[in-house]
Amino acid sequence: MNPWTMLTCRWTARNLDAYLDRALEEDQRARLAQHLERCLRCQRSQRRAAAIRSALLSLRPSADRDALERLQTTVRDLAGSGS
Amino acid sequence: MVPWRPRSFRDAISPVSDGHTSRPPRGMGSAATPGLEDVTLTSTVTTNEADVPAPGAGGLDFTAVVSAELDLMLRVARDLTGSTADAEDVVQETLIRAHHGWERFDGRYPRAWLLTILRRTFLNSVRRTRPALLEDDWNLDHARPAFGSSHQQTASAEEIALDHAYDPATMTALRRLSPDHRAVLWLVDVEDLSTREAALVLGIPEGTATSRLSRARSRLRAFLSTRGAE
Repeated sequence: MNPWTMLTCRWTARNLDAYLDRALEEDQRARLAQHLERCLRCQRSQRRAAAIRSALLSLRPSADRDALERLQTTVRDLAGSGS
Repeated sequence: MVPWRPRSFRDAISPVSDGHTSRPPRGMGSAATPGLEDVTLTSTVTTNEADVPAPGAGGLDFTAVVSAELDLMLRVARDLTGSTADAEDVVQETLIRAHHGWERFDGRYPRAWLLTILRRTFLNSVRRTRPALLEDDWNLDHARPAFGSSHQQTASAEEIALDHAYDPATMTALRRLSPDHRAVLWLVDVEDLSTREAALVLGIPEGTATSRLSRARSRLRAFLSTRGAE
């Protein structure tokens, strides 16, 4: 692996979370995406990071429907009562 | 068991306005800060920049705005209180406070506004000194098992293998994080709050939340890697 690619891999690793957060500026996002197209190692890192994000999202507790219904009633009552 | 960290405790229970009122939120513009911090019901600050009186919250509809955030508010309240019943009480009180303050709300970033009220309500009404998210013995008993079937149908073989490796490991790795790191990671990557919203909930500066999130993600990846996921 040439030194330039290694540097780009390090830069990619540092910015991968921001990339997944869609928080990079467009030119940086494009640069990282371009590198991902060519670098299998960074592709693996991206898939691992994305898999962890997905795992974490799936831990979100399901909604308490009864409580939500009671709270929705409160919202309607408040809105109907005026200030 | 993660050791107790007094510094994080102070961070966790400090008022929302401490530490970050002078910093404009990233990506939200400096004008948002006064509106977000000014949620006390006794405030007389006019949030409408023009002198012409406008409807509360810039003309937004209270029912529509609040209803859209109810589910999130209930989940965050449960994260803070550690109790379903307490969470509902906190959200009920938050709704009443939000309704009282509606005319003074400038209508910008309603989720952040509601979460700020929710945090203050939690601090005022629940006899806790520390958010449940920051407890050392925090657990995931209320969480659903990781990974739904829809994800696996489109995933590569490697991703499926990773999924199975992470399923129990993710929860174990979460428990190994320090409470302050875990709290930010949970609010952002599980509850899907922005970093700024997570900072508001925890009463810490946004920069602190950002750095904790970064470290938490790195450590989580490292913990999972050492369990054979690589």
